[in-house]
Amino acid sequence: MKENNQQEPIEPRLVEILDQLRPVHKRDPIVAEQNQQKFLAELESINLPSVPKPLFERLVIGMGLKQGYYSIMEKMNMLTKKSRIALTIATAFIVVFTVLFGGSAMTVLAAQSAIPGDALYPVKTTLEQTRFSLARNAALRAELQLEFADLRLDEIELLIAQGRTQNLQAATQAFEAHIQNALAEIEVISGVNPALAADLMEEITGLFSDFSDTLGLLLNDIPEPLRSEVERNIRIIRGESEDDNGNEGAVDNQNGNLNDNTNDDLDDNTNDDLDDNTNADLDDNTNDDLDDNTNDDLDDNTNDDLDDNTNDDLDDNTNDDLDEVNDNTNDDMDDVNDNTNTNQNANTNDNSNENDNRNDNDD
Amino acid sequence: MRTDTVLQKFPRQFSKQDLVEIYELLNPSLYRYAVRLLGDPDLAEDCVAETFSRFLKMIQRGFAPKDNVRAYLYRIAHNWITDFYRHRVPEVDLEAGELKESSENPAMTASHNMDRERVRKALLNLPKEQRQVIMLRFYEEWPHEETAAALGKTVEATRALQYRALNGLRSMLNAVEK
Repeated sequence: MKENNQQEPIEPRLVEILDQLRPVHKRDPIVAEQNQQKFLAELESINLPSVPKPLFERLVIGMGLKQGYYSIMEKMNMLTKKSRIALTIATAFIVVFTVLFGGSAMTVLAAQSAIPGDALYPVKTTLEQTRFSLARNAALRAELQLEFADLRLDEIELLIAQGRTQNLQAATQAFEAHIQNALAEIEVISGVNPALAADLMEEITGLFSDFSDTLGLLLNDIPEPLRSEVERNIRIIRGESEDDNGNEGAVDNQNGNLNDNTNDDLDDNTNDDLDDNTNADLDDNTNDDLDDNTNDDLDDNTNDDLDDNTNDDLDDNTNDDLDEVNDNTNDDMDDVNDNTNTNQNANTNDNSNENDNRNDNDD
Repeated sequence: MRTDTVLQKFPRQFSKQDLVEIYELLNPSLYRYAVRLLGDPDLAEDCVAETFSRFLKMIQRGFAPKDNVRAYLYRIAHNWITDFYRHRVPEVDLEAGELKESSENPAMTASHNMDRERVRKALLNLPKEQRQVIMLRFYEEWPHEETAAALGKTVEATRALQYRALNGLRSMLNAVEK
């Protein structure tokens, strides 16, 4: 560790041991060359996007709701930063519900039976719940939720393979719940660590793709009145464009308030519907500003807004992380150093002080 | 290497030529990184190939890394390695040498190989982030700032992770100074 040796000296004995892993065998040039050719072929086959878009925009557009997204972003331009954050989160939830409840035809289908699954299944889910409750931060919680969602997908596939459609409802609902929980955690993470949030979104995209594949497997077993509805849901999940005339079947299958909004949005794909939803869910002052906005500078403002929000969140949330980490460090140090914490005042500085003391001890 | 302009390019609108440069620049060091932790050249090649494949997919979807391409790629690789061990080596035994070095160097003595396995297994027994800090700080010789970027943490948090990782390694490798 050349650059920071003076801060964290490692004793020579440990360096000597760790250094044993340093030499690496010569790489096989043929395999390396094959890998490079594979990379070049894959690179050749892709289309590069012209301008990287903000995370939230990519999420929404990826779900086929581009028009509605621009409608919302247009109106967000005039809002204060605080209300923009609130609106972003609220809109994220609208999108999530839109997509997730779009799959409720599956739930309706599965609800025809009420026979529970295997006797040990509750044990499995209880264990998962325990693991989740032990996860200490948003990243771990999000990863666990995605892992559980993946497991539900496996179970759904098995249930389909075994013809046990009576148990599908719980599995599909659980899948939806895990994705919702993961998205909520990712909302938190995206403020602190946009790169990690992007990684997790990649996983969600993959899960959605698998989910739509799984729904596709079911198609053959579904009676015709429901089949077109499930097909429509698959298209939504895959982000394909919507037909304008797909309203009736969907509305019939929904009942709660969120579901109603969902159907309106997706089927019509117009700005008006999304506006209604936004207003209904948000504070009064959000509505006031909405109508005055224009299309001008939409993209620029969008980028600026999202970046700013990210930065603001970063500082606060970073401190939270540090607290956790350094608390542990303190525990280690207490035995040695009684005056470690005498000059604590603000979050960030506290942490720095603790680290300095730690390093002194090392020396 | 840290001054390579393609890695500092902003805004992130990579051309295909940029991506080729990134591959040529980083794939050797990513391979070394992977083979140290995996102990198997074939697996390490898989890891590198999959890392760049995921990278291309993310770029294609518009998820270009915001600040640090190198840190981003190492994070993908580290996740791949973690996933690999999560599925295959639930419990690592520090005493026995299960993993093999598939392209043995005859010059290396058997005891040396065993020592390498001990170190590798001690590293694998560390929590994921502590392991990542040691790999990047000690073997890759990254500064704290870039290590912190790869972990998505602050520099202070990274230092604390390193401190705990070294403590863990000391006790696992019986390397406490008398």
